Amino acid sequence: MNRRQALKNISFGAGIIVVGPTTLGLLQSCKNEPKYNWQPQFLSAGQGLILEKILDVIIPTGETPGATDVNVAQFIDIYMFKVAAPKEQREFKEAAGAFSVAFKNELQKEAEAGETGDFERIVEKFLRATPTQKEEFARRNGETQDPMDKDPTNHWEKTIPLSTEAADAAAFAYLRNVRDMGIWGWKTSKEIGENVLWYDPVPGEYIPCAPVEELGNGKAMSL
Amino acid sequence: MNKIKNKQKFEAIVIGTGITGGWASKELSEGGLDTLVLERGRMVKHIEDYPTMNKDPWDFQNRGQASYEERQHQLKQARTGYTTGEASKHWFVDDLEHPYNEEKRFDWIRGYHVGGKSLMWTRMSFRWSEMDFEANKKDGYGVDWPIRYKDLVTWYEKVENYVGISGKNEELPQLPDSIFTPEIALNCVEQELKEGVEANYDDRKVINSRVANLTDPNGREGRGPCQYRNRCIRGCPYGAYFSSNSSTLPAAERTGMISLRPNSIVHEIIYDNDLKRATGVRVIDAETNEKLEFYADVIFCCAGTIPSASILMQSRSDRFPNGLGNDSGELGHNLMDHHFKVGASARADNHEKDYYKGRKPTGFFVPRFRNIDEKSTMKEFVRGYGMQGGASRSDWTRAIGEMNYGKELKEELLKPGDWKIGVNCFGECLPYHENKMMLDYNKLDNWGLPTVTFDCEYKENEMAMRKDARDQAVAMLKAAGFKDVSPYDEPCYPGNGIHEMGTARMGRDPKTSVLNKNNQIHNVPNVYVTDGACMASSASQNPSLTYMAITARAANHAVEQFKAEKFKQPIKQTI
Repeated sequence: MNRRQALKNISFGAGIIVVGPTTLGLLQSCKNEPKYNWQPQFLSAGQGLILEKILDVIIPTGETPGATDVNVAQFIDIYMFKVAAPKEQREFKEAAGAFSVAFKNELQKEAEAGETGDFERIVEKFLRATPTQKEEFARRNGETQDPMDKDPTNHWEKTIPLSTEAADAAAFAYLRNVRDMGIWGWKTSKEIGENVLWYDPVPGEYIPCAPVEELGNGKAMSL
Repeated sequence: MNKIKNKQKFEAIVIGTGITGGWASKELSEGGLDTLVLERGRMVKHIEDYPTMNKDPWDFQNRGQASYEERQHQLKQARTGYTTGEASKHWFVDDLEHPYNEEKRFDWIRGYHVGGKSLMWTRMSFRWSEMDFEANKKDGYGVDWPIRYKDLVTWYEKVENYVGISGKNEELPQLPDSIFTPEIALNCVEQELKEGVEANYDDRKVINSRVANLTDPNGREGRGPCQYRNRCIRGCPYGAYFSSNSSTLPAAERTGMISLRPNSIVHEIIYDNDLKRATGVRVIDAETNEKLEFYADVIFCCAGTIPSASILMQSRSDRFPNGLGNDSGELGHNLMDHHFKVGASARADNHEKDYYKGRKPTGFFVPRFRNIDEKSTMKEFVRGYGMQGGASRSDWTRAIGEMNYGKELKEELLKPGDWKIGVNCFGECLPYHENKMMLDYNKLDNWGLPTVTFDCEYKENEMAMRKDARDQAVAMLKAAGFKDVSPYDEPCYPGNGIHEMGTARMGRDPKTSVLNKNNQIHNVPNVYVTDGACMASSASQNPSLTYMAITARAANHAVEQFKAEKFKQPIKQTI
C-alpha cells in the first residue's frame, strides 16, 4: 500500500490527535518502501513523519545534503527520548500535537497527509510571521489558561479541543524548536561535519588571523 | 601491586595523585625516598585511558549530551555547566555515590581517579606576586603568610621549566613573569581589545593568557607540542598539556622508587603519642572494603583541599582530639574559592572577513589593576580581580537569530558566524574564619566514613568587587569599540571556581594556623600538607602553579629532613 494513501485513510476528529496502534501498524507495513523504515522511539510514527517533512522545508536537500539525508529527524527523536527531561518531553509532544491541529486549521487536511507544498505553506506562515504576530504567539504561549496546560499527563493523546489561537502559538514554538534542534543535528552530523564544513580535526598550528577565503575555503569549522 | 600487598612500610607516603600529589611523588622519589602513592579513585593511564580524546560530535551517542538518566548521577557536578557532557563526564564523580551536605550551597566538583583534577583543569598558570603574599599582613584579613615571593621564586622556576608555560614577558609587579615557552597569539579581535584598552587606560593591560599547554616544538619527555584541538578536558594524546598522568607520575615511575596504589581511600593518619609524630595511614580499599594500614617516616597530604582537611579531622587522638594538627581550631575553616561569572560580552562587527586556523585552548588575560598601589586603591573593597576571556567566531548564532529557513539558511550555516568576545572576572575571596567545612558522623558514605558539610558564602567585599568588575568589563569592551556590549552577573556559589582552598592554612603562629612555613603541621613535622588546604589567602590568580611550587619546595625540604634523620629523632612539641 502506498504510505501516503494509507495515512489518508486514517480518520481524525477535529482538533484531536490520536495515533494508536493501528496507525503504527500501517506505517510499519510501509517499511519496504524506499527510505521509509524508521520507527521513532519517542514520537508517534505520524509525528515522526511530520517532523521529517518540516525538516525537509527548513533544511532541504540541494547542492549539499539536507536534513533528511543525514537523519536529523531520527536524531531529534532519540535526543527527546534519551536526553530531554520529562518536562521538555511533555512540552515537545504537546507542541507536536498542536502543530498537527494548526496544520489542519490552516490547510483543511491532516498533517500526515500533507504534500511538500503544504508544509512549505505552514512553515512560511509561522517562521515568516510578522514580528507582531511572533510576539503574540510568544505571549499566548506564556499564558497558562489553556486546557492543555491544566492537565500535565498524556493529553496529546486525549480528546481535548484546542482553540485556533492556542494551537497556532504552540505550533510556532514547535517549529522554532525543531528549527534550532534541526540546525544543531544537521551541523553535528558526520556527513556535514566531515565533508561539507571545514573539517580540521588536528590543526597542528594556530594561525590567529587570516582571510576566511584562504582558510577552509570560506567555510566554517565543523569542530 | 604484588609488591605493595606484602609490604607495609615505606619511607614516604603521598596521599593523592592530582597536581600536587604528582609533584610530591616526583620530588620525593627523585630524592631517593621509597614512596607509596595512594589514590582513592581508579587507575587512569596516560593516553590508554582517555576514551573520548579523539571523538567528534557525531561519534558520541547524543552528540555530546549526557542522557537524562546519566545526569541524575551528576546533578552537583553539573553545576559548572561544562563538565558532565559525554566528552568528560567520566572524569567527574557520581554524586549519588559520593554525597555531601550543604548548610549553604557549595559546588564541590571532584574527580576521583589517578591524576585527579590535573586531568580536567583549565591550565591557567600565573605566579603570585609579592603583594599577594603581603596582603593579609597589610589589610589584616586572615593571618600573615609565613613565606614571601622570594621563598618561592626558585621553585616557580623549577616547576615552569618542567611543566612548560606558554606566555609572554610583561614585567608587571602584580603578575611576575614565568619562564615561558612561546605565547599563544591573540586573534584579531582579541588584539583589537588589547589596543583599544591600552589606548584608553594607563592602569591596565590585556595580555596573552598563560597556560600549561606546551608550545615549545621540542616538547618535554614523553610530551609533544599543542595541536590546537582544544580538547584538553578529555585527556591529551600528545601530552601537550601538563597533567600528573602525562608528566610527574611517569617521572616518578622512572625512578623505580614509587608504588602507586589506586582505589585506596585514606581516611586517617596514625599518630603515635610516644614518638610524637605520624607513623602511617589507615586505608579502605574502595573496591573490596578491606581495611589496611601503611607506614612511613614522612607523609604528604595532597588529597585536595577538602579531602586533606577531612583526613586530618578524622585523625583524632588523645593528643589531637579535634583532628591532627588542630591545636588552633582553624582546621576546616577559612575556606575560600574565586568568585566569577561576572563580566560582559559583546560583538565585533569589523572582522567579517577574518578567521583563524586551529582552536586554541586559551584566550586573553587582564591582570589585576585594583588596589595594587596608592593610585589604584579602592574605597569599596580590598584586594582585586583579574579578567579572563576570549574572542571567536560563533557557530550559528546569526542564522538562529533570524528565522530564515531553506536554501538561504543552509548557505548561512556554512559560513563562520559573528565574532563574539567575552570577559569573565575572577576575584579574590577573603579568608573568613566562619567559612568552613565540617564532618557529619550521622551521615556516612558507602565506606562508613563521615560526609562533609559546607557552610561557606561570599560576603560584602566580594560583592562590592563584583559590581566594579562588571562595570569595568563593560567600559573596556565599549572603549575598544565593540557592539552590543551586555553585562552579566550570575549567581556564583563557592566551589564553582574549583579553586577551593584554605582549610589547613600556613602561618607563623601555631595558635592561629595549622601549617608552618615548610607546610609541616605545627608540632607534627613529618606530616606535610601542600595542596590548596595550605593557602592563607586566595589572591585572584588561578592557584595551580603556586600549589606546584609550594609542593616541590616542601618535598625537597622533606627529603633533606629525612636524610638528616630528623624524622627519626624524638620531636619536641611547642604550644
